[in-house]
Amino acid sequence: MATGVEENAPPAAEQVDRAALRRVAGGDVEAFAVLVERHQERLVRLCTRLLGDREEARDAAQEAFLKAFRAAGEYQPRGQVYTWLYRIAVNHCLNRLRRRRVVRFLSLSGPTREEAAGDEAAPFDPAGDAAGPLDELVSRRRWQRARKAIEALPPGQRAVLVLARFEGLSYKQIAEVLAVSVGAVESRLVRAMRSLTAAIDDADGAPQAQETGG
Amino acid sequence: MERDDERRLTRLLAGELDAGEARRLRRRLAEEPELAAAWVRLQGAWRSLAPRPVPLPPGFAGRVMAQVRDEAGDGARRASPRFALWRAPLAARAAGAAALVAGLGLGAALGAGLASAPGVAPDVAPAAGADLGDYADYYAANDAGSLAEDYVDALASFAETNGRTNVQAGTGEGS
Repeated sequence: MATGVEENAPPAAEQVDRAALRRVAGGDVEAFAVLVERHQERLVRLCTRLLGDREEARDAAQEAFLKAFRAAGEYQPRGQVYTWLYRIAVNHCLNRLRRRRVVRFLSLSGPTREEAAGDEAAPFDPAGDAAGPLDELVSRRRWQRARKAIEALPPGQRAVLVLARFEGLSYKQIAEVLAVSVGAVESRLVRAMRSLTAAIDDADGAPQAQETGG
Repeated sequence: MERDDERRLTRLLAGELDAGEARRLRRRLAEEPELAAAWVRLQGAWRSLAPRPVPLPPGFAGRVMAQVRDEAGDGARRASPRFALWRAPLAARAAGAAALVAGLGLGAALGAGLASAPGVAPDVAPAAGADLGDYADYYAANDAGSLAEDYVDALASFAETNGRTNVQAGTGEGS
């Protein structure tokens, strides 16, 4: 599985991050640029996939960096710096998603911004393995169902799915980023995939598999 | 499908099974049509999501650093000792000092050890070993949805642990 993070980051890269954080904590504001340059891509990508809205994701990533700057003095070098940054960004996006759900519930409004924006705003593509026009139609319909299912997932499940599928993080890394147990990560991913497969079955017109429990 | 199987298939999908477990599961997939059908559905759903490249907004780093510099400047101004206290009349200085002492006392009484960077700590989940105040901040900053989710996670973990224990006790099969 392709991984979007430096799971086995060379110590030198980690040292660069930690040295920059130490300098920031010591009052060297410009040293923060090192962290921004090194991690901006992955943070913007992560926020986009979590929020499904490029504009909101850009703001969220910017705010996450600002939070990291404010918290530089509190960083404990227990894990890697990117994990710490991921955690700040993910928590920030989860709070935004939760607020969005509350606002939507209270206002009983129509589509979310990501729904209204349509396919262009989607942080993922339909799988490109359609053999002909009919296959492509089916593939597109399944993808749209999957998108809706992901948008409807509780924020915690959505975060686990994004981190596992798109960022290529292991259960252990996700647990570290979300500050939950590995069991909770697994449970969230199982539930997210259950919703996703049900939505796709629905699109295909197939009966949903009966759960027997265990 | 049994929940244990659903969990194993998801682990296989996410690359979380070791080589031996993956081999055993693949052998079962070849022999059990129902399990194989579930695997096809799960794999299809996973593959239906192909990551789309996310372009970096132009000038993003510059905007972040401009905001960081603003923030640092504001912080420095707030922390600067060049406030006009020394130019204030003696009575005002005394009142200011009294208020400062009272504030410090109240702060110490109310919550020594709580997050030192308001606006940062609540979004960052408390690390292991954090005190209760950190957890209170964190949960206060997160809505009931997160608590419900945590509750479901806890129930799921409990059920899974319990289920596994029963399986192990009943069949002697390790997972």
